[in-house]
Amino acid sequence: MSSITLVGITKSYDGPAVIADLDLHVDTGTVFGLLGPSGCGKTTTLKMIAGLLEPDAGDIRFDGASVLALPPEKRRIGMVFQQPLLFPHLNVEQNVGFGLRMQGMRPRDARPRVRDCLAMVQLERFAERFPHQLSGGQQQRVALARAVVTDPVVLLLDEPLSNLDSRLREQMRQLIRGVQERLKITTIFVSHDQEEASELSDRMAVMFDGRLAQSGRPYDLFMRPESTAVARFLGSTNLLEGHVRAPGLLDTPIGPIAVSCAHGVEAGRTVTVSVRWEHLAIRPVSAGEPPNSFCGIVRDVVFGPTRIRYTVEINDVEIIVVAPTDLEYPRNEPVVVEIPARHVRLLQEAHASATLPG
Amino acid sequence: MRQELHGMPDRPSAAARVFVILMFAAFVAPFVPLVVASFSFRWHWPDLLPTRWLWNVRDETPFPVGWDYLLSPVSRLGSAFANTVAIGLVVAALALMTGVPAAYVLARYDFRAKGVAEFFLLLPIIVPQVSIGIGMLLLFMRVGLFRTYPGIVLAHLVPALPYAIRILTAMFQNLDPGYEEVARTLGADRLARLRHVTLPLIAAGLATAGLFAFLISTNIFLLTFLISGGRIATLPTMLFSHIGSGGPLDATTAGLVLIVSVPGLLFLFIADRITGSGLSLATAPAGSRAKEDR
Repeated sequence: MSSITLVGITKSYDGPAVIADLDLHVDTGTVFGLLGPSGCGKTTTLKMIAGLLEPDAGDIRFDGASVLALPPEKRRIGMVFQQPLLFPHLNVEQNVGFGLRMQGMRPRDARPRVRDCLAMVQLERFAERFPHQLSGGQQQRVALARAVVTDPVVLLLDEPLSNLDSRLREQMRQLIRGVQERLKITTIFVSHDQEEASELSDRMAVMFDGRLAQSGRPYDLFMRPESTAVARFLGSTNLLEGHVRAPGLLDTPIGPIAVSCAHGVEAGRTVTVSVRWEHLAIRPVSAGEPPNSFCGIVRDVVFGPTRIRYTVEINDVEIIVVAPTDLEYPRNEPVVVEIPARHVRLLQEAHASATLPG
Repeated sequence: MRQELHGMPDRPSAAARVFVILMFAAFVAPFVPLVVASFSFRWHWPDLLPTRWLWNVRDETPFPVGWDYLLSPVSRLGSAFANTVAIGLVVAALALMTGVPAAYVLARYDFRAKGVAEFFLLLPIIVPQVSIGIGMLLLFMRVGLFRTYPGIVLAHLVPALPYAIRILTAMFQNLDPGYEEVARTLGADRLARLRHVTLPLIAAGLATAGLFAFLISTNIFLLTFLISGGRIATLPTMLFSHIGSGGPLDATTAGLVLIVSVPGLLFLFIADRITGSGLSLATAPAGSRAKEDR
């Protein structure tokens, strides 16, 4: 198991840089989620770590030692692609054993290890099957077993769940988590699905246009997004534009809000703030309201097994509130929404965030 | 063929069956009069069947006729057959050995002279064979390839190779480069990838391309005729020397025509046995693309 370090990686395909001066560090034995919209350069980054693409500049190090001079076949990596890409002329056992065979191991000697890996993905009984006899989910599990059979020091996952339906995704996610925890293998996971990345990763980063917009623990990214772009991409949050009237007071389309964040910002400036759906409180209309409360009307109710999502219209602005299931407010009911001052987060503008470090 | 049936309806409809039978009849029908003719001694219009068969006149002719002649050592059919098959196999092997790398480059890389290369690959199909043949004849006479087996093989490669490269290029274009990438991450170097991944995945294309090269070679008359200088006989040159004499189709020629079609059928049968996919031009992944290319 190795740590992975990227230093100043730059890459372009006959045009503007796809990856620009990228620095990244993944600690030994942890899972790093690289999250971003399609075309942001996350797969390119993964392929450069694998050695399938060469960076134009910069260095890639496993445990501090540069691997740039090594071809993929010598880097001791395991990789799972978006497609399972099982070799159709080989059966499951031969597919999983492929890496060991390349090391010169005879099929008979490789068998215990192959069976062990198949057991990890719960497919022991399918060893004799051919890829076309398996479902998509099973094929992807075989691909995972095939990637870890050689004890790679680094595991690279390129959207391995994106072609599976939601139930299979959940199962595959747990399998990946289980395999990673058992093998303690340093893993980089690429995804455009924030839920997927946050559930699997120890640390994660959001990537836009070949640059890391923000990185940290999943909790930090979701709770403390630094820029409008990150907040918008991660979602589940209300974004409000406002003018700073005085330190700690914003004029917004829904009304004046007291905030605990904007103290350093000079009066008169336009800022964007973010308030997460679940941090808002929804209450019946009553006398004696707490501060930062706004009257509105419930426009939409979406019921989930553990929480209810309300869309509340306040001064022609739609605010989304996620509330516990103990009370239910019907559509068109007047309600009060409270915005706790400490949960309002000030964001950097999108263009400004690009030049910020890390 | 076996596994391609996976997922198809068990039984074809009645209309589909009739269609298949009609198609089969259309291919087989021309052979029927040939078979009859090869056993006939006198068969004139408007008789539906020959008035005299070979076995009626066997004792009357001073020399062997028809199959008797063809199968006797005098006809030298054996050496012509052996020449045809041997030249065809060498042509097919060389077409694959040079065609696989060429097709790989054409399918996977963009380079400046690509259009030029593709044009020159089409040229032997567009230019009449007689022009190529005379040109090669003049050249081969100077370099000592005239009247030699290598000379004939080289001449055959000119029309055979473009077909092989076209089929193989389509095969490589349909082969997901991801398979090779996965193999790389699993520790397979260039040679191991070729042996364990790429070649097995294009086996059907190899069989098809080899079959085409072989069939083209075994059907070539003009180039063989020119380059062999009459020294080396193949089935087509032997056949044309019979047809060339003019007159009605006699039993010997009819028999020869039947024999000329044997190597191709033999090769198809063997290729199907070895790869299980020699017949699968239409069902191979590259099949549809290969058709558009032509």
